[in-house]
Amino acid sequence: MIKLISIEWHKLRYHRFFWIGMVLFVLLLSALLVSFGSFQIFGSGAEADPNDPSMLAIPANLADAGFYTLPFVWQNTSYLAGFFKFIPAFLMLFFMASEFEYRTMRQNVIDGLSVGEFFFSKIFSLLLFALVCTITVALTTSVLIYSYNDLAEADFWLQSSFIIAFFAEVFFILSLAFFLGILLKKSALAIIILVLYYFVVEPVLGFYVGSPLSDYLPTRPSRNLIPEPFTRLFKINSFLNIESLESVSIKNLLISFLYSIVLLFGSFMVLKKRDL
Amino acid sequence: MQIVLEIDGISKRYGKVQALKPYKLQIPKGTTFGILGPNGSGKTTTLGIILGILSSDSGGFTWFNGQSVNSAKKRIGALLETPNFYPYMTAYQNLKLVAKIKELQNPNIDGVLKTVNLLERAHHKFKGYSLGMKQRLAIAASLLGEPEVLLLDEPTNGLDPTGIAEVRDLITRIAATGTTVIIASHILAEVEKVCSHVAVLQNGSLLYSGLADELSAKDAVIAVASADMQALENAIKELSSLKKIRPMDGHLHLSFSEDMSPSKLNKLLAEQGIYLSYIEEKKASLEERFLKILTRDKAN
Repeated sequence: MIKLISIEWHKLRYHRFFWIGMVLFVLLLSALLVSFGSFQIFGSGAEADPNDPSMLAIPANLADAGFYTLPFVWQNTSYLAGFFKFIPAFLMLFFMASEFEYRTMRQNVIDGLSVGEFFFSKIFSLLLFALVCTITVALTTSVLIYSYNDLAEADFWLQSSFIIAFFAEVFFILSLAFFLGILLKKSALAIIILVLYYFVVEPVLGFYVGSPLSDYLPTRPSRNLIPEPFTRLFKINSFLNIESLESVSIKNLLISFLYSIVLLFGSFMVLKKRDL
Repeated sequence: MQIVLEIDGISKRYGKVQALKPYKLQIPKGTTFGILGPNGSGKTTTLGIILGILSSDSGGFTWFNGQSVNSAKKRIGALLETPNFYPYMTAYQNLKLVAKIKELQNPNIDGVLKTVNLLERAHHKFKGYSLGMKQRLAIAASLLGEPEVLLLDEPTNGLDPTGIAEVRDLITRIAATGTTVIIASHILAEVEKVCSHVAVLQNGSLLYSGLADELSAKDAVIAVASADMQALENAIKELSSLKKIRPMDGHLHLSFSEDMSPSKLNKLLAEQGIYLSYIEEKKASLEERFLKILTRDKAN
């Protein structure tokens, strides 16, 4: 185990892309989360009209709108952070495909690593990426909570389960990248396929099969883990009379992890079956 | 005699092409074993299977009397086809990774880099290396941890004449320490100069395996001449073991069906009052034998 981690870390630590990718992720994400609250809201400054209940007061910026307010802050930040999951996913895919492009996995096996050991050493990268992302979001959110909330009044941990949902979301996209990197063996091709599938193929497919079947397509449970918070943030939900989600759906969480495990198991089978 | 590797009926088919037909082969400990064959004869397929990166369609193979492939590989240094390293790492970092995989406690990285004359470039990135340097680094990697078996596939690929001479010299030195060396090559000279045992592969079939000396000695020809060539010819034709007689360049080239040494022949002829002015044993070179084996197979 220690040996496999040490092998994988040796491969990562000398790679410039690894450091650039991780630093980019951490800096961009925390900068966005910190500055997001000061974004001006279109049409801000309007006063509530006591005679017309549909006319609500529009706050000046997102912080005023309650973007950093407990307990919703967990959902707000982890939802926003979800857009950045493609940075670690592309890194994962790139590192995986490189092992085939440069035939280094083959060399690893010639040198004495078993296919299973190689697989588990790569799982270390996957977990490392997922943890770095999750910890970045958790730490940034904690800092924001301390700066914008009075902890004597609000519960810090309430709704912090969105962090687990975020972990599951990143873990899923990393597993998908892991699988495509192994299956396609070419990083450029695999990145194109990943983006096309995620943003075109599956949404179109979902439209055709319709609900509720569309909710069980591979990327859907992970996408639905953290519902978008803006409808509630602007109180459109109360006006439209929809219930907004207040906590993570355990069902989505489980299905999302299940899909991840299936993808990783599939990767392992492809590796096992394939001649190097 | 200890057997390092026993191949028992491995074979490989790629679609319609039977790349390797089942065959048996034993590689004894301490030998320098050459696997000879033209391109596409199944050499690399054989090595891929015994290193566990290709699956065999049939049969099996045993390293070190039944050790599992993955633990056996830690006792083997192997260079298969092109050198594969991480382009963004330096030579030193790449070898360090190999040492981690092989679980070497105190890998002599500087030592092996020195052996292949790459010590000055040890901290340069692999992607900047020339083909010859890459090949030398691959040889260095195979030497890490002083393996019991060295497995080299076309080891002089991409090297200049000096490099080729150095590698051959290196192989000879390593073989002298008792390391079992397995070399796959299509270049006869490479195998002939360093190998004690030879196996010949063609179109996926094993055509010959045995001692390199036997391979060259089998068809030994004795060339003789005497003052009276007619009397010589008559006397020789009386010998029961004579297989073939052929005049060539003013000599008679003789081959025999049973063991015949020049001294024995000389004695037999002298007893009949014929004194030779010229006698030479012409061993068929490995190259002639190799071509003969290949053409014989084609004729069948």
